[in-house]
Amino acid sequence: MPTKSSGTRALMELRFPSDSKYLHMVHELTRLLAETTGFDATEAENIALAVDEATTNVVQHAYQGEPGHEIEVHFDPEGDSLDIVILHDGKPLESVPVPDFDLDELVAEHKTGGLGLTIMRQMMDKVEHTKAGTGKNMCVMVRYKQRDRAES
Amino acid sequence: MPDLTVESRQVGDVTVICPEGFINAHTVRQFEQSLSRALEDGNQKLLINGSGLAYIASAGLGVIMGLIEETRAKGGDIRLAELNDTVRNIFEVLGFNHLCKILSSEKEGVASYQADTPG
Repeated sequence: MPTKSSGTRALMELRFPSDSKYLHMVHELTRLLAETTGFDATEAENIALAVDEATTNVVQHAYQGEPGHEIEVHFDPEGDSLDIVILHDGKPLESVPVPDFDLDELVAEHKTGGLGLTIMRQMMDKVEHTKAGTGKNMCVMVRYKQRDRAES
Repeated sequence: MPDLTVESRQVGDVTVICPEGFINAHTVRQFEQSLSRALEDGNQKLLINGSGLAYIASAGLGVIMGLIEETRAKGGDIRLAELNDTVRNIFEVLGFNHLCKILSSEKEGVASYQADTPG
């Protein structure tokens, strides 16, 4: 998987089965990588949570809870951002237009779904669901190291 | 070491629920069962002591969202105490600090229910 600028492979690539027992492992690896590559502890945890949510979506929705499938996560921390790509062969998870997050409304309407995508969008500067050149479905998330949301 | 253990204990009429570990899609069932069990036993005043909680994902937040209205309708509440910076940040980013009372200590959390009681 080419990186954002160099054309070389991502620094870290992870492949794991579509089983929720691996989600914590991915969370912790993401957190440690983010801390190692310049994010502070809070930022690193926020990034880890975004990846946790994205991979949970793949396990639960793309693969509909079925074990035995493969999920890939690629990390590219070089340059001015940490780029994270999650790839899978499951059902595509399109970025549906989501109205502004209103917690009171969700509680009143007994809706608990959609929180994961909201967390991803709050914690990362870019979130995009698209197709890889290989045909796999992918979720691309970017967190800038010098964060200025107004410019992103 | 288990991913999550959840202990519950009574402090007066407040049920203190102590998750130890992390709450995500894999571990959320235990957390949900602890809250639901307390409510089924007639305990409507719940205090989640988060001192042992490393992080909470949307699965866990969804449990709180799903139960809080029902609990409040019965005169109770779900409150939180002793959240570490990580967990508190998650709550604040999503606005959960406006939905649920977050106290600094378990003692304050229990006392907050007593302060609600008239007379």
